[in-house]
Amino acid sequence: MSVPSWTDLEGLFHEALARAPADRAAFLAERCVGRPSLLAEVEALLRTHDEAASTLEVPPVPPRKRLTLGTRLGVYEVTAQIGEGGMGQVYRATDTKLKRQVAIKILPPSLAADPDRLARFQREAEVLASLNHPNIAIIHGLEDADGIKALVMELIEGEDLSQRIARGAVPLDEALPIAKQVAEALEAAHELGIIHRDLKPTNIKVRPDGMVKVLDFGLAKAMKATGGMAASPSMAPTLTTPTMTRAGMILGTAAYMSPEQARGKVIDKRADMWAFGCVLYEMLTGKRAFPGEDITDTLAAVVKLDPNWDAVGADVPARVRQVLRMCLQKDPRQRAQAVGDVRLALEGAFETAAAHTGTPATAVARRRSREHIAWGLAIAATLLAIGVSGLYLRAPRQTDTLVRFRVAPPADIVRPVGAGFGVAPDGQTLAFAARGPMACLGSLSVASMRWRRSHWQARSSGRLRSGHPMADRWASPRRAASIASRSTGPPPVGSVTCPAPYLVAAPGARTA
Amino acid sequence: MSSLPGDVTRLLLAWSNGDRDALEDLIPVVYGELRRIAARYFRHERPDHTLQPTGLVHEAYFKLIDQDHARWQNRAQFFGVAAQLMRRILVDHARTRVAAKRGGGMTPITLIDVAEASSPRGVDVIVLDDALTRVTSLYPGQGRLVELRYFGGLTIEETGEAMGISPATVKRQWMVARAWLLRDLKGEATV
Repeated sequence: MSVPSWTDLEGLFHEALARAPADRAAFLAERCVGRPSLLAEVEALLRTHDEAASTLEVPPVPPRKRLTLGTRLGVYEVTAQIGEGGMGQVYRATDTKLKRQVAIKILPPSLAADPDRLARFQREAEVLASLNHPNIAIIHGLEDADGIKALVMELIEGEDLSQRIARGAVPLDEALPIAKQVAEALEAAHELGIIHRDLKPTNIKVRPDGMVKVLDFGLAKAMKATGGMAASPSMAPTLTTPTMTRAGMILGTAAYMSPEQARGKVIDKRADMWAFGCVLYEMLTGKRAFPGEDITDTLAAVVKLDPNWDAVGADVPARVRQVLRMCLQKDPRQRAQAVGDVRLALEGAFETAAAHTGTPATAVARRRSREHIAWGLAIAATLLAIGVSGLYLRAPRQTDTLVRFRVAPPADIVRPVGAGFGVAPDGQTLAFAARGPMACLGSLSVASMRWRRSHWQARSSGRLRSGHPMADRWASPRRAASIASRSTGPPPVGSVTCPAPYLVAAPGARTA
Repeated sequence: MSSLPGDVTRLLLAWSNGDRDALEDLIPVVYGELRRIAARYFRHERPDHTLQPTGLVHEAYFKLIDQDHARWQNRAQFFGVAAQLMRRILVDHARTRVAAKRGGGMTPITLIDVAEASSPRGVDVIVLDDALTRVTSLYPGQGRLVELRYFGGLTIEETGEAMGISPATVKRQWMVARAWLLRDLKGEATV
């Protein structure tokens, strides 16, 4: 008997496999007329196929003990394996008491076996469990049964964003609502001082009803081997698999890692802003912002290269491009500082009325966020006033150009409160009330910002239409100046230097 | 023979630029490193005698390759070479063990422990090697693919890179090759 050619074997095997089991015999009989050896071979291969898939598949490394279906962990009964990641296997389970479906994530043995790490993880998990936001997957608790430690979480149906992106770029009207919900999730967490640290498309689930759920908030830190603050590529959760073998996964994490993270520096919530930018870019273009063939390549791109801006389609409005650029600044100080601002910018809140044409904004959300807008614009207005006077003093001929821009609040400001602000008499310090690092305790602190005039850059100008809610504040440098004169001396609490304020708004205001 | 990461990287680059001699120089270096790493693993062999060649090969890669200068293609090439060498090392080791333990309660070395699988001990290295030899004699390309997957521990994508074919093709071939191997291992009628 002749040996069938591989091409025949492979072709028939897959063609048969694509058919219903009941139809395969007839299909093969028809295709193998006069070739009994081929028929026998393909049939034998199909018979062993299922078993081969389970016994001979190269398993993910390192092989871990898996739970078999039906295993009970406390009140939870495992019903299916959903996935396996660097942070452990994930199963679907039924809560037999509350009769609901949950996802349980088995903690890696390295963590479960280390009492110190486990205790720390437990504390972190308690904080994470306090995150209560519709766009954040809820952590129900930690389960410890038969020596297996598992994190019990809300089960979310639907595909993750990476699967969605794999089908191609996400259309704008679909991508923006997703981005907005992710931003809202980040905003809620940042407000509690919780940084995601591992935001990426695989951690973002999009339910069939359009609801977005961000997974694994803060788990990166909670699962970290040491208690130190520094983050390095090798500390990211998906990089801790002992043999560093899951190249695809490592790559998956590296691609969204902020430059400071890639350099092993201390990270803060601005790392999430970066990752958010990467995710938004990838949604809009269908391509990674920082592609690389391997981890080295990818990290090099993250640190050195700019994303390919040409890949962003022409239909993407300027405000969205602006958000991308704000988030993907290599220097965290130059990056968008607060996710709330990014969300507002996505909604077009910072655009002047003139720039709004053709971009219907979400009025409801805007009303809800009036406080933030007021804050953002108030600061902008102040700086505007000061900027104008600065320009006037330094370059009298440019007095007809009014520039609009915004200074990033210091990194540890979670969210400024209210629209009040004051400018020190010397014009060097801006004071405003904000929730600072003590936000978790619910206290308010007053932070201030200091900037150097030399860093100001005017980008563009435009006219602010009268009738705009903020027009009167904007159009009146005198008003800002009068507020400035009322503020006295240095702010009561601390002073934060913000040496290189970045510019945000492209559509500016202009007075004659 | 000791070498600096840059050496291996340079040799890989030279090889990819068509320098055949570079491969000759490369093999002993990679082989030496793999053996060293493997020997350490063998000393601390796990009680169930399972091995993860994936880990060994990757460890060698990180040791031998200058990450700053290597390119992705070099990585695939490296794993391509290493898979072959790893297979030789593992099989040699397994045969030595079998010889040493002959008469005693010998425990076969299994490649990878697949806990939930019907064959709880995974696949015996020697048995797999024999089967691989058979599949290679009939279908050289697919034999190579299996070698890369099992002994190099390459992912589907990496295998595609090393063989110069698309991941989709690797996947299709892998499914068939896997079934072929199992059928062979189970001693079902061979052609």
